[in-house]
Amino acid sequence: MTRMLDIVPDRCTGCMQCELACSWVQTGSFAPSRSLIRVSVFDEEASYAPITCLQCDEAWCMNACPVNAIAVDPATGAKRVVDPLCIGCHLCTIACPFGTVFTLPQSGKAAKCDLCGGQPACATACPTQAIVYGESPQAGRWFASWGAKVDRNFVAAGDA
Amino acid sequence: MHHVIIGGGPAATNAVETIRQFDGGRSDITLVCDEPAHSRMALPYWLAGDIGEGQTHTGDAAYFARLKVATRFGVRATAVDPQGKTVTLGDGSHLAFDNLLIATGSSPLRPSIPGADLPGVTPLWSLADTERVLQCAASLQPAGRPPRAVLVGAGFIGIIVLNAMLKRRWQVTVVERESQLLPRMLDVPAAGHARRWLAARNVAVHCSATVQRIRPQADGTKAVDLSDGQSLAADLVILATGIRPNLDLVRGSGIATGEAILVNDRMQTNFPHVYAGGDVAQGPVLSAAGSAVHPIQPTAVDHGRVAGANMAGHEVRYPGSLAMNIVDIGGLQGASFGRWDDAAAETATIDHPAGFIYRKLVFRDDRISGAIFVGRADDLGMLTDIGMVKGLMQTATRLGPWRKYLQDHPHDIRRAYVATGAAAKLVATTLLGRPAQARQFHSGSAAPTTAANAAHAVFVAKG
Amino acid sequence: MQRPMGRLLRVDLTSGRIATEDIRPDWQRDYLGGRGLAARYLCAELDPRVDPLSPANRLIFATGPLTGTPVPCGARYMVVTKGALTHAITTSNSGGHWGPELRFAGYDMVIVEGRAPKPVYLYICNDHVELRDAKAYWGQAVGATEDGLRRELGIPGLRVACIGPGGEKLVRFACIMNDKHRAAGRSGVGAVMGSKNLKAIAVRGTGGVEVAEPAAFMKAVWAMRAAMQDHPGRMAFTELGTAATIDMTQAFGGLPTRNFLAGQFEHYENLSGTTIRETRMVANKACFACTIACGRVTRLDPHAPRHLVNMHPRNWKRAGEGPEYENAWALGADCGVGDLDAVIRANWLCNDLGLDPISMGASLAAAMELYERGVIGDDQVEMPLRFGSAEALLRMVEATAYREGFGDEIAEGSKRMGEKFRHPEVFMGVKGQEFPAYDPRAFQGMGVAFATCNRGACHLRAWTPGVETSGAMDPHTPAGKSEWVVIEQNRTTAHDNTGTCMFIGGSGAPLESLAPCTAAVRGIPCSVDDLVRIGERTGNLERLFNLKAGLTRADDTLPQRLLQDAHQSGPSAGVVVNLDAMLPVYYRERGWSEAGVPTREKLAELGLASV
Repeated sequence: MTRMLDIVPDRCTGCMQCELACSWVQTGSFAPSRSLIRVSVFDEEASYAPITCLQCDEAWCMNACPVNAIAVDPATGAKRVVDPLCIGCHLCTIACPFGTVFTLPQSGKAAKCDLCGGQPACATACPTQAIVYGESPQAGRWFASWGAKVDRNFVAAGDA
Repeated sequence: MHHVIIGGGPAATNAVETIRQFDGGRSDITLVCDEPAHSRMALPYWLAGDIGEGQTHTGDAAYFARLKVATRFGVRATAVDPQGKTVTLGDGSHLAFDNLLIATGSSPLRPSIPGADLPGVTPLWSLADTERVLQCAASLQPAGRPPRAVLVGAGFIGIIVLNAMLKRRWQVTVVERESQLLPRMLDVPAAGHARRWLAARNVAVHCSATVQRIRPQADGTKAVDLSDGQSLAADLVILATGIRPNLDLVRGSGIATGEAILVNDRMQTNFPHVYAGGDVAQGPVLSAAGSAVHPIQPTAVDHGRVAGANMAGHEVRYPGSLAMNIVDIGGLQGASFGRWDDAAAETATIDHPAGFIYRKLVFRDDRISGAIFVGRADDLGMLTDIGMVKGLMQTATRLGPWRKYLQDHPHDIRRAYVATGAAAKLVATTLLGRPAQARQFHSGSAAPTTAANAAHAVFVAKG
Repeated sequence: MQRPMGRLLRVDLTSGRIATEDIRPDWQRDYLGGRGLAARYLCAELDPRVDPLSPANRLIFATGPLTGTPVPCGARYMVVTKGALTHAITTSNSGGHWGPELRFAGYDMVIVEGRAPKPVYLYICNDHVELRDAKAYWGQAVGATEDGLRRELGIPGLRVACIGPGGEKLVRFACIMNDKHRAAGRSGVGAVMGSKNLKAIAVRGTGGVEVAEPAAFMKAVWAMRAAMQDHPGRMAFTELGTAATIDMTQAFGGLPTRNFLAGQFEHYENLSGTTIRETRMVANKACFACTIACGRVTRLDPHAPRHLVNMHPRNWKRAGEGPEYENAWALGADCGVGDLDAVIRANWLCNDLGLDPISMGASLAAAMELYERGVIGDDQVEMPLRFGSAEALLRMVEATAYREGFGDEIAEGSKRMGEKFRHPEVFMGVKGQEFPAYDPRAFQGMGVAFATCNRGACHLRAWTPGVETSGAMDPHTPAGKSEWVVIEQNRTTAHDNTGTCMFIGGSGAPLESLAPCTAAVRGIPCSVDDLVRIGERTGNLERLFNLKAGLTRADDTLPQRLLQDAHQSGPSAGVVVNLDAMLPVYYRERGWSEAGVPTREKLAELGLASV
């Protein structure tokens, strides 16, 4: 098994500490709009969770890159943007069907979660262990149950 | 087993790498291409000065040697005999093949106007084109003013080139024959945002105008006469008036063509051992009947990977390509997906001119069938939404009650994306039935490991 | 990217002029940010005698230097203006995400002046600042306004602070809501916003907050995080929210019930933190950067009577947040309502309509007392305003927000209402503002805290029940209370100026832990003594504003009910507030004259001589 970022939506309180942490790593300032992990706050469904790159098997971003600027980090298995190679064409951004590959305005380069080289700052920052970096059999396995919960709460609300 | 691959773009190199992933080097591969293997997508960034010429390359001799590929660069394939399983090359030699992949790409259309063949009038399509334009610009430097360029054609390629020229601080005037910018990528209001954005950056745009003639001037510059009566002085005229697939090779060969070479969902032509991919192929379309030419990088990659797997003897079927594009319009992002121009479909739009924000979701039945986004590059929230819409379309997710929600709340895509389970489906999806592998060529052999990050170290030190 | 403290945005609604200014560095030095800095601007720019609902009033939104940073609970902004309820300076604090977003947009403060000729909203997206037509939102509730603005502007990350119908109708205790459920709640700041025809301030910021000394800053942040992680106070906030307090106030006979006619509520268990958690809460919710998450996301009991919870379709909400302790008390015990679903629903309505639930509940409680005593008759109300009536609670919240029927009277607050009906004694508050949920007869310290708070009765400027019930003090005697309140007011004020949430203090991260954060974020040394002095300076400045506004020592008082009428039974039976013993001590500790005026020496010491 590989180490991955596992999300536990029921523990998330929507505090944005992960966004603060990630944006700090990206920019050296606290700028949540620059975070590569982004918290969804679904008030009406009473559910929150951060979403970031799942390091998915298909690696849509890596495949779409016209200049092979996304590589696999041998240490973590993360798909990583090799900055000097990136031309900033945004193709990885539209190829990623999870909405987790960005282009940072100040550099004009693609940016995505690279697991901070094996010590993800978001997991360090999370006060409720809603972000866990550890062994996991399947990337994004939490997505299905979380989606079902949001859907269930939404449908229930429609009846109210 | 001998695979012959004609072309050096993304379809070709991805096919090579995929074949090797499956066969571990047990077959022979010959790659024929009249240009070095490079990324056409990268050329405008070379023009912009963001990267050097070397960084446009997508493979070098060592790379092909490692992959055990025999290369015939600088040679053009001139004929193919699908029944005799041979390819004729420009030097008169012949290559026998067991499997053939035709990935010859496309070429720019040259408008038939007087002066289109003058020096300094050129498309920006090849390595040679790019080098010529850069040389021309350099030669103007003693004049002490930025080059004046007229860009003819404001489609996807034209706008990328425009962006490069703006980064160079060239003085650019845009001429587009249709009444809007990016007519095959954005609808009228979305294009209006782009036009206002460019106007605010002093980029002159002439829409509904064509170039009548280009006249050489005594000082070496050109006068570009437009149909609206104006004449523009230019040092350079960049032609971006559309492309056509490179079908010369297959004419009369018996390989079936429509708008391009017709392929099935294994990328096979009407001759099962002859494959085609990339801009020259007309293949399956995601969530739709029929076939189409989607001359975009991601489709070329998919085609190359699917063709490569099948050439290596593994049956992989392509679910089809999704039309999508994203372009930086001088700092404003524009993106579109699928059938955004479906006039009969229901839509939900957001139009916020002061913020240069536009969004259109297009619904067919119970699904999102198309989308347009315009917004400033500094709001990553839009990029999340762009990706999630792509995910909903990629999975053809049925929206159920979320369709009405999205029609009422087109700004809130995340909720519908999560609740409809699109992500869970995507996690379980791979095109080739196995995890994708990293490409084996990185320009300048840049190390893919994580560099030390001082901010990160401070954060995780915990005092 | 911005410096730790930098720019303010000035918006003149009358002319439509918008400008940015550098924040005065000397005022930053003296007041740090937030409440104090805004008060300094208000004192410099506003004649304290103006009608708070006139265009002359200023409405200031101010963040602190820690707002938008990962310092736990660095979420806060302060609304500073002359209060519509109190005619005194008010400083109304809120969390959520709006304050940080303002800083990310590049502004530490917004000063709003004048009155727009028609309803507008202010749209801020980094350097793009624009007044836009709010016609589509005028009359809309808070949730619909926020959703509508996101829809119109097409920005998913937009953060909205807005008023509801309450603010539009100039309800004197209307609040400014942000992020749908967070409130700058007290003193009628929403009415001031409404009087300016300003429906909302919608913000999107894509910049960041910079830190002068990152290593020292993160070290201080992690120290706070570690101290809070296993602290029992933090765990109680997380587990039970603020409503856990109800067990304590009930036990000490300090849970004001039926407009302070009793000190204990027979149905208090229905409203407790445990009951809410076990029966109605579906999730914890945090404000920005908050590591406590005291917010309760609640759902009504699915079996709650429909007629009760769904009376008015125009305001039907399917889910909401709260109640906090104060709201559970005001809408519950103070009105004698023990039906938790009705209280939750009334809380949601207050949030969505933009009303301060404390003053709403307390003013209704006063109206109920008038009704029960026959002062107001059935011909004046659409339904009996009996203590305990859930129907009356829910209906009157709406009627107040829209100023319908008797709601128009309640909307003036219980002081004005009591005076109008010639029974001013039903007003339970100070300086026009209704008390929060502590009976000072059970906690003497709260008596002097309420009487001297610059914005009228408030529990957030000095909170004494903790120390009074710890065994260190007798809650029924005045000894030591004034001294303690002075210290606590100074510390709390300093805390407010930093831009962090008060609750970290009770969660293991006292003011001492904020000093190194403040120092590191600005790169300027800052000790806890510096902070306390800043707090004292701020409090004195506010006091000067109020004195110029015409307030006197006579306004530092409590209702006769607290001073003369003891409870007949319960743990606090027989006790009245001995304010006469505490107030002189308080003035002395403050360095003020017997008339409650800061002495020249004190002002000189604080650098306020010129104000």
